[in-house]
Amino acid sequence: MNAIDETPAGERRTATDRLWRTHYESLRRFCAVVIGPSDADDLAAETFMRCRDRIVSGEVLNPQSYLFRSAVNSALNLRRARDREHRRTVQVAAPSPDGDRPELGHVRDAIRALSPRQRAVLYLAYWEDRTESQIAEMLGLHVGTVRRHLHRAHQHLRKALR
Amino acid sequence: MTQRSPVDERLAPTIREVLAEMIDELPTSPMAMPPEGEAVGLIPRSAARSTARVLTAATAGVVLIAGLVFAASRRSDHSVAEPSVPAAADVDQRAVDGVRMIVFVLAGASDESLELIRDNLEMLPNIDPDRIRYLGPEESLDQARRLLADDPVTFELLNVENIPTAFYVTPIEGTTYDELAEVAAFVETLPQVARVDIDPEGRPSIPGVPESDETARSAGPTNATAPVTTTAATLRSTGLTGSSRASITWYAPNGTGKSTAAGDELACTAPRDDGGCDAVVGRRTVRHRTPNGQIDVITEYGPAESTWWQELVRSGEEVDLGGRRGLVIPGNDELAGLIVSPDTRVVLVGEAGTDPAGLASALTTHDETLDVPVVFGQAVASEEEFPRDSVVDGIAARYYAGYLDTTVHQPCVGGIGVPWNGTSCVAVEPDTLVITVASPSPTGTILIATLPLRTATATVVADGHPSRDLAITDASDVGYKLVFADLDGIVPSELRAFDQDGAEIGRTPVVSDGAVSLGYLPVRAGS
Repeated sequence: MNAIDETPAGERRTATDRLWRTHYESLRRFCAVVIGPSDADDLAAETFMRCRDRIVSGEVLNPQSYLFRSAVNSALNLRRARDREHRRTVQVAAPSPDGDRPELGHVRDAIRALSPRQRAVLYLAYWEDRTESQIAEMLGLHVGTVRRHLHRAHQHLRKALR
Repeated sequence: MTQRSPVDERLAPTIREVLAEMIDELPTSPMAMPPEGEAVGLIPRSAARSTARVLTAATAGVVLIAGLVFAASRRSDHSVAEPSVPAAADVDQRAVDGVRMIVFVLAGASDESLELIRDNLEMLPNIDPDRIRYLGPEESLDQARRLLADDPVTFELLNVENIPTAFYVTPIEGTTYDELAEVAAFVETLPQVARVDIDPEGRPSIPGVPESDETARSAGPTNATAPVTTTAATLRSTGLTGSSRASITWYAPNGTGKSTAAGDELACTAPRDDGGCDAVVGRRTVRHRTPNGQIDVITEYGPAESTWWQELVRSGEEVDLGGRRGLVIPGNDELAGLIVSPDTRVVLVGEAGTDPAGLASALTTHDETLDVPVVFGQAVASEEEFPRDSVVDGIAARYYAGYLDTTVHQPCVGGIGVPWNGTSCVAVEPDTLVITVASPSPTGTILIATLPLRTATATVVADGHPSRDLAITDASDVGYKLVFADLDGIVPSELRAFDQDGAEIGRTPVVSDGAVSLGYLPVRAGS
């Protein structure tokens, strides 16, 4: 029997409540960067619902890390699906909304071109001010890998700012 | 512990500005925090309502309740014999008596759509037109309340606006599972139908599915690249310039194929212990420019064949081309073929202004040693093994395996097979836990993943099944440990890695890459 079935309903609700309160907003922000704002809510909600039982049942040691990793995995998959869709879709150029600051548009485009994992690392470094080792722990990567992801992201972004 | 800040201070202001912009584009937070004192009891509902607001897709409700009716019904049927089975979920027996198929309709479907679905159901064979019951939003919500009695948080995600409505369908007596599945496959194609569930009772056992200990396979080589001596076909003629346009391609039975990674050429399917390779699959293409056009010289390796070759075999006739067995199609001056060896063929495809047959006569071949990526995991000729539920129009996962390519700048791991040959090779850093292919489905699950190097054992966890140990392919000499798992009907939820002391190193959820795109196709009887 699943462990969650043995948990009294009240305790479970409280645990879900706590999980939601503690992590949902940061998960949404994370998803906004990893997948983009338009898909962030769906990705965050789906991730939360999928991971909830396992976290609430106490099997997961670091809920935030588990949620973030799951979101990145989903984002990778969604992105692959989108890429396939994208190839079938005619792209229409939109006017830049950045007025006299075109570099913002370039950086935005450069961030969108990064892989979900690179975006995840960028978010944790620049938005949550995490150290390399914290990011590594969070995403289940080696510190060297985090460094490489950031290095590549920086290369792209510097190029965009030239 | 490294405490160094990874931030580039020069880039930081701009990056933070753009990140802020992306985050600001999110709608206002859906979570209205209640006062602290009211948190218990209120917040889960508030949270759920908030989630419901963001689960805006018309199919969202379907995901939450599909499959529950028959599961609950079966629990109820077995509750005396199996007292340990939780009986929390209940169903409206009036609605489900005799019902063996439920057609879920997207929330908000128009009356015309509902009428069309009902008309079709009434006309279908094996369906009793007098026993089709439609549950509108209110009734569907009541049903969901019963089904989700032990899961109020999920129930709170549903409301009359997002809940799928449903037709509960009773077939005529004696209708077999396969006949019903045939009907379901058709109904699923109707507009506004989100999903069709059929009662699994009576589902025939699937022949040829291996026992569990056969399925978690990852037997394979310990090296990730292997030198292989292959036949290289080139045109040596004045006036032609050549440029390699490499691609790795596997062919589906109908001849279609997709490149998986630019820069790759071939993959080894039979590596030797000494690091060499005895068999390769894939193709090499060299494009030559001619004075009036261009011609591609494509060398195909392996048992599967491209559309071009199939066309040559079907419509061509054998001719002598420069002392070799050749194939040309009468009236077609843009295509010619050569048989170089039993598993090696050369196709010459030219555009206007070329003469493939003439150029084929001038073709020279020579042996060339290449480093090729190695296929890991046992390459499975799986048409027989694969459950027939996944066989559509005779196409199943005919051949599949994982491959690790370290010959490219950023090593990548992917899966090949039919119909998965479109799956891309995913760049993966060494020493990480990453799932690159996952196709969780009730009939055929392939899981391909990389593991941290200190992994000694790995398991998949699946709800309702014991954890299953996976065999690991050790390619640590090039920085990878790999898993290729064929899990049949198990739908895994998580992959876990452990070190030699049994301590957990990491875990990651198994997320589908989209079942249909990876080959799981709807039940279709008689295929």
